[in-house]
Amino acid sequence: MAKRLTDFLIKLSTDSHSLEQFETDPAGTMDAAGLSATERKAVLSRNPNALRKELGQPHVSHMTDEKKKTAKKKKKTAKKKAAKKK
Amino acid sequence: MTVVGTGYRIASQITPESLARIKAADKFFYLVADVVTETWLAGLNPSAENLTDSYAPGKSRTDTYNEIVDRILAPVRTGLHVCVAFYGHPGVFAHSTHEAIRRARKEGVPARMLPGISAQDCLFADLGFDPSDGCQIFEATGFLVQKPKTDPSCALILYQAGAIGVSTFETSALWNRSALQVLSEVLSKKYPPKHRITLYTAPHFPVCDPIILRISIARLPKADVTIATTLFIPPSKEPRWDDRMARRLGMS
Ligand SMILES: C[S@@+](CC[C@H](N)C(=O)[O-])C[C@H]1O[C@@H](n2cnc3c(N)ncnc32)[C@H](O)[C@@H]1O
Repeated sequence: MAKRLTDFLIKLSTDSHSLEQFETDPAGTMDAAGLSATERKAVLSRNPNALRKELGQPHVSHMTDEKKKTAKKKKKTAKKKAAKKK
Repeated sequence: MTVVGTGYRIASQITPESLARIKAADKFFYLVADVVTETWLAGLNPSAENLTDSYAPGKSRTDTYNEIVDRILAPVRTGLHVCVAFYGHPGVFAHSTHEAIRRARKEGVPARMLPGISAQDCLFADLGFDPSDGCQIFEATGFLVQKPKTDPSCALILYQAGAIGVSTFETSALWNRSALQVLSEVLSKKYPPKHRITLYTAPHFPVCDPIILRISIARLPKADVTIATTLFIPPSKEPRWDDRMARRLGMS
């Protein structure tokens, strides 16, 4: 795993001073963090896909919700019953 | 048991209260959307366990959610203080967190959810939109299948537009492109086809900006939608104003 890049991104997100430093001197902060040439390029591109590639992460967003049929089925039977009664 | 949300930007959108719960837990589980947040969370508590391996390509998401609930409840049943962190708000479009809380309470264990910053919260901030004139929020598959009555004078937010009709887990960036054609057709009946909609993606990394793509409804089938995209459809009509009601309320 890209440990240096990971630590660098964690630092920027936990410490607003580091983020400010990065904004004023990107090259210097990336030097200090020991990032490789391709990692620097990915950071400077500010493109999440380029960063993800360096981090070895596929494009995954864990879905935590799903629509199910159950509610609909119940309604249908209720409607059918109502129609029969008529 | 406590369920917390980590928001979107690695460590910077979590509340101090949630962070404290994570650190104090006997057992800590997490499920987030990027590896950097995973690494950060894993370092907060030695008992940290990633729930990601409950997902597998092609596996039914219902099975995954049940498995996640069982994994969370196992240490709860042994009397441990369990904390579970999900990305965004842990109760927004998240089945297993609500279910785990319901079941823990049924078994007599106190359980609580703490709010987090969800995709729509980031969207309101980044798009400069205030939902004060109304905002309808649906899951995209539900929007198409359950056909809720919607009002084009209110904004519309659709989650999970990249996974319409898919009940499994996949690793591709977009799970069902052909369904975007259907969504585009359905939206075109409610809005003018040239109506501009926004494809919104909140940034995870502190060096990145949000991705904000504005396209017409007609362009949706070919657009760069991913499973992390939230769709924002602004109102196409002015809100109504009922003069009689306004007078009744003393607003002349
Ligand atoms: C299962 S829901 C989880 C939502 C999350 N609990 C929240 O509070 O934002 C997944 C959906 O959230 C939205 N989402 C996930 N990542 C996103 C991102 N980076 N930007 C915008 N929306 C995102 C998309 O609509 C995606 O289909």
